Parts: sequence; C-alpha cells; structure tokens
Amino acid sequence: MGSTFTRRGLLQASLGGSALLGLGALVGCSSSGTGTGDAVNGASNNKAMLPDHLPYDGITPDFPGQPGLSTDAYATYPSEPVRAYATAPGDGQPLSGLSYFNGSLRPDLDRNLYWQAMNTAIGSDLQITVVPAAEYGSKFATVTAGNTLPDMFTILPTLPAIPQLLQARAVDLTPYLAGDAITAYPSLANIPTASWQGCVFGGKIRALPIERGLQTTKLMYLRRDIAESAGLDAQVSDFADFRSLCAELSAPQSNRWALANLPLDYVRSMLAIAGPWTLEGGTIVSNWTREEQLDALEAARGLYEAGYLNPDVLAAPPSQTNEWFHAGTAALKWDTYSAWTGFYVYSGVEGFGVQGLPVPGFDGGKGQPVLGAPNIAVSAISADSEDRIETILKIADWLAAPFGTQEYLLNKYGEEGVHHELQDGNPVLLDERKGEYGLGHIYLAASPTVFYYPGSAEISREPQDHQRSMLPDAVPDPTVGLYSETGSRSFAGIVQDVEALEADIIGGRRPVSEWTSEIEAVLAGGLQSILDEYNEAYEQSQ
Amino acid sequence: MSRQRLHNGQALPAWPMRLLKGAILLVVCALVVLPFLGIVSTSIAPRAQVQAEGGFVLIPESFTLEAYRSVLAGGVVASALRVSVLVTVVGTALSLISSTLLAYGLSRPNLIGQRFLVVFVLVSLLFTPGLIPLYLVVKQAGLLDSIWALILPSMVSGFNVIVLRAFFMNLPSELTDAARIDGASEWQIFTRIVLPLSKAVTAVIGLFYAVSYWNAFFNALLFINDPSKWPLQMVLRMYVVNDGQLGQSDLAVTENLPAQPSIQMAILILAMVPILLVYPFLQRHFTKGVLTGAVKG
Repeated sequence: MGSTFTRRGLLQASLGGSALLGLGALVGCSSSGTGTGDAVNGASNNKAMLPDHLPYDGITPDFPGQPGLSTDAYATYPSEPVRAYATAPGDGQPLSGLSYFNGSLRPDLDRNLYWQAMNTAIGSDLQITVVPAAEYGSKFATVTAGNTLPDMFTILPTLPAIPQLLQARAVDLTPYLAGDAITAYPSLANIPTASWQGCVFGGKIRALPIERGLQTTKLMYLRRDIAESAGLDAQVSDFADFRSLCAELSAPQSNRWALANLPLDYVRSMLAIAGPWTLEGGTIVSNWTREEQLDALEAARGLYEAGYLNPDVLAAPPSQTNEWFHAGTAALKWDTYSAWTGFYVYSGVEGFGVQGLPVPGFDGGKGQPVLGAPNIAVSAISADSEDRIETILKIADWLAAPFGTQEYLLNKYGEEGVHHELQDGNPVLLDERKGEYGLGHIYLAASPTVFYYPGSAEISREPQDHQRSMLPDAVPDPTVGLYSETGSRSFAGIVQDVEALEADIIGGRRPVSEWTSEIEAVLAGGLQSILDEYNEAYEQSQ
Repeated sequence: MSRQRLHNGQALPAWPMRLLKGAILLVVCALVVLPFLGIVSTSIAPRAQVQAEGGFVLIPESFTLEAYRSVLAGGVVASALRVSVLVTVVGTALSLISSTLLAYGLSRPNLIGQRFLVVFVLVSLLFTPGLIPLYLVVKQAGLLDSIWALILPSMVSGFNVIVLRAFFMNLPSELTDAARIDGASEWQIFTRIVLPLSKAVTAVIGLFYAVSYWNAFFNALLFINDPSKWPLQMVLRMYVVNDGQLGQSDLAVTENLPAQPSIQMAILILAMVPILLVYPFLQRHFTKGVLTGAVKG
C-alpha cells in the first residue's frame, strides 16, 4: 500500500481487519449495523439484471428433472462425450485460488497425475491453496487482511460481511455475465437462475455460484436392505407410523438402533415448521417461536427416551453417524440428497440399499419439507485480477462444463486408464488414485449437479423419484437471496446455541418447557434484529 | 487401642475415612486414565469391535496394529510426522541457541543499555502483535509457504528468556570472575562455565520450546499453503478435531482401511507419545530448573 492515504486503501485495510474481527460494518452501511446502505442491501438483489439461463442441449438426460422439483438423472455416461471447448481456455499463466476441501488431501503436483492432466487441459496451472473447511474462515480473513487474495476465492455463506468484502475486493461481473452477455460462457449460462440470485450483491453480479440445486434438501434415509430383511413396511403415513418403524428397527441387544442422528428436523417437517424461517402473510417469521416446536421436541424426546436413537447420538460427529449407517448399527439417517449415491460408494456392504421415507403430516396427510439453499458457496474473482477477467471466466466456464462433456469427464473422473476405467461405458474410479482430486477447484466453479451412479441406472434414478414425490410439498427458505448484516455475524453462533438446547431437551437434561423462554432470550439477543433486517430486505425486493 | 501413626507422628485416619479417600482417589484416577485407555484401546482394537461398540473401545477383544501401519505407510500422516519432527528439532535447537545467548547477554551487569533491552523483552510478554501484523511480517519476509514460517516467528519467547536470564544472574559471580582472571573470553565463559552449570534450566526451557513447536498448528494454517508441509497437529486438527475422513490415498494404503475411529486414535497417540516420552528424561531437571529461574528473578 502506498503512502498516500486513499479512500480505497482505507477501505481495503478496514475490510481486511473487519473480516477477521467480525466487525465488517465499515463499508456502505449504517452505524446501527442494519445494513441498509445500497452497497450491502440484499433487497436490490432481485432487481439486478441476472444472466440468461440457457440450458445445455448437447445431451438429453435419461431421466429429465423438472426445474425446482427434481434433478436430472443419467443412467449412463455418453459413449462419445461432447467436447465443449475446442481449445484450452487458459492463457499459459497460472490461475491462483483459495478454496477449501472436506475429503482427502491431494498429493503434490509431481505425484498427482490428475492435477497434471487438469493443468494441461485448461492451459493454465491451477495453483489453488486448499484449507480444511472448518478452518477456512481464519485463513480467508488473514489472507484478505494481508492483501494476498488470489485470482479466485471461495466465499462460504458463514463468512461475515460478504457484500462489503465483495464490493471492495471482487470484480463486478455484471458487464461480463448479465443478460445475454453470458452466451460467451455457455457452461455458466447452463446454471439455473435461482443460483445466480445468490451471486448478486448491491445490484451487481459479484460472484459465481457453486450450485447444488435441490441436492442440499434433507430427507430421512432408511437402510432398505435392513428393513426388507426384517420384513418391515417402510411406508409411514404419520408420526405414529414412524415411531412404530423406529421401534421395529431397534434391537439394542443386537447392537442396532433405529436412528443414527437426531430426527428433530424430520418431525418438524411433519409439523410444517422445518427450517429457521417461514413466510407468513408476506412477513418472514422465525419457526422457532411456533407453538408446534414443543410438539416436535416432545416427539423427538420420546424417541430418545424409548431407546430408538443410538445412545451416543448426542455427542457423535457426522463421520460416526455415517459409520453407524454403513455398518447397520443404525437404519435411519437424516441427510441431504447429495448423500444418496455416496452411501452406495462408501458402504462396502453386500446387498446395501437405501430409500427415502416420505414426509407425512404429524397426524396424517402431508408434511412440509423445506428446500435447501441452491448454492453451497459462491466464488469471486479478485479485483486485482481484472486484467485477466475474460481468461479467468473462460477457465471457470471450462470447470463448469456440464455432465456428458469430455471436460466434465476429466474434471470428475480423471483420465481413462489412470483414474477410472470404463465398465459398460461408465467411468468407475480406481481406488489408488481417488485422493488426487482435492485441488479445491470444485468450489471455484461448478456445473449444475445431476444424479448419476456409474453402473446402476436404478441407483441414479432412485433419488429423483423420491424428489418427485417429496418436493412438490416443499417450501423454499424465504431468506435465500436476502442479506442480514447481523445475521452474517451472529446467526451461525445462534444456531449452535439452539442446537445445543435441542440436544439438551431431547437428551432429557432440560424440560421441553424451557424451549419457549430460551427462544425468547435468543430473540432478544439478536434473532429479532436478524428478522427485522430480513423483512426490510424482503419488502424492498418485492 | 491407639491408632497407627504416620512417620511424622500424625495419627492415621479411621478406616471408613481412609476407604472414602481411597474411593474418591480411585474415581479421580479413573476419570484421568479411562479416556486415555479408551484412546489406546480403540487404536489397537479390531475393526468389527470398533464398529460394534460405536467407535470407542475400552477393552479390546484382540490386538492389531493395523491403524498404526496405515497411518505410517507413507501418506499424509507420515509426511506430517516428518515435518513436525523437523520443525521441533530444528526449532528447539535454534530457540535454545538464540534464547540462551540473549539471556546471557542480558544477565551481564556491564551490558550497555541492559535495562532498556530487558524492558524491550518484557514488553513482548505484555503486548502481542496480533495475527494480521504477524501475517504481514511473514509475508514481507518471503516466508509464506516455507517451513521456516513455522519456526522463525516463534523462535524467541520473552518468558523463556527472562527465566534463563534469572538463572544466569543467580550463578556465583566468583566462577565467572575466576575464569576471566584466567584469561577466558566471554564466549569461553558462556560455553565452558555458564552452560554446563545451567543444564537443568536449559533442559526445561528446551522442553517448553519443543512442546510449543510440536503442538503448534495455527501458524501452519495461516502461513503454509502446500499441504505436504503441514505438521502433524494440522492433520490431527483436520482429521480428529474437525472429523475429516481419511481415505486410502491419504494413508498410501490400498487394502481395506481400519475403522476411522481407530485411525483417528492412532493419530492422536502419535501426536502425544513423542512429548510424553521426553518428559521422564527431563523430570529430574524440571522442578529445579523452573523454580530456580523463576523465583529468584
């Protein structure tokens, strides 16, 4: 930074520090922290000129989905994948990035044939710093403060002051992507509009979506093989049926319990109070204040008391609950649609099978699931890299090449004979090179998700069938696309506190009656401010 | 009948009281020992038992070192272990050299500006620079993504320097005066008289440094971009604390993996044992070294 005290310099320094300290209300927002300034107001999101949606027509899904209701599914990979890019999109210069990963740690470039192949295909070396997801906030804040942001970086929804940060540090992509300008990037144009809405801040497109569509929606999984071997009918038409199913699946003497994790959100879906927020007569309200919460908690607590949940469920990390589900120690698990095909990949159990339970009303009829967010993250391009913006967007477009293309095949499955082998035309990953994929690029640009399980049309289609039956009754989270300044700083902590309260109540450490007073305290302690800001943003978006 | 007496003349408590005390101590010991026993047992228990018992085994049915073989087979854990050993050994050596030299200099009464320099060191105890300035300094020094970034920023601890200085000041001045009269230089006095007399405090300070290098993960998170340079604690944090999943490629093994909890506990043991092994060798120096340096400062 030069010696001249410029507004831009102050802005950058402020944002760096503020991102780290969680005090980011320094740019374009009121002192009250309500975030009403134009630069940060999520309300203007819907008024922005979004990119046109031009679905990719190079391949027809074997089982076409319906927008907003079900995801495309494929029985096989095309025998002759289309080549989306005639030439490599890169300019020979490295593409630096900052992203996160959850799975395996990648080997170094010289031992990583996948990374080498990607670099060759893209025409620029991918130099992406990857950080464990749980530590991403600390790393990102420090890199931002140190003014060393790379060309592209992932923005997790839990980061504070995202609009201010993007306004100061990210390229305004509106001139390059809005309207029909996106036709220059056909793979990005293939991403649904709902995902782009989460990329608009202050009326400008500041980011690229990491789309997950309907895959983030949660459902109750059942180990079908266990249910069948026990001769159980898995059709539940109300909570009483679900409880009976839990009772029949539980056999503690055989080291098996019905549930691998808390079923509270499933029960809430039955009571139409799933998710933190709901839209009621044009106003966003908190679901936590609804009276039905007491019924949901009482019901979930009853399941725990009856011994239908694994006794360690309140302290078990997600990996442990997966282990129980795979091993058959638990037969029911609450998870996202994205887990469906993954269960088969990692099970290693002969005859393994899963199915999704329906969401009935608590006393019969229909329940009301809540849709997950269409993006799990967004990515942005550093303002310092604007001179390479078109190349970077082309690389992002390459990385977002849709299912059925040669680029997608390389991106997801590596090279034939090295990373995967074709079995009946389907790429099956080879175990010994599975760990090479963690480059972090999948959180910098991504294609729309599909259901595809190599080698089984049935498994590819099962989750789509379930979506068709469950999602017509689902409601979206009304806060998607809206921004709350207070929420960006404190909502994650509030959720953590509320989840701890839920665990205490279900585990019998606190009475259900304490829920109401505790939630009133949460409201007074910041939730009400978040609600007010969301409602303000919602009103302005209408 | 008179009660039995202890060697100091105190009467032994009545048996119910002794029983109660014994029971309380047993419970306290169990609270400390059982989790550790569980960690060791889970790391050596067979996969089927780990899965059957929900991921935490107290008494293993049989004994297998499969989890240790997996994590030491050459994957990420083995690589991180090498980095941690390198950083700890090199860092501790450099820290001891720099700290003893600085402390010895500050302990000499005829040092010009001694008072100012001591205050300078003390200030570093009171005011830490904070994360962002530290990051900027490391960046400006060109140390980002270098293993030296795990050593240099924490090479000298003000607290350790003060403890060493206090110890050096407490050494009889007659010894150094006699050496000086015999023609010894300051360097010779330091290496041939002061350091040999300071084994206890040097060992303890060395242990302090070694433990802090061994346990550090945050510097690696901030300064190291290349995962192959991550230390063991970073891997521990990722796969045990944050519940990451270690795959076959992470462990460089191709056969079936042991249960994840066994792998996690094996990493935990690997992260604990080296420091635990060092303690018994330094224990005899520990009390003497710390108390002498700290109390008489």
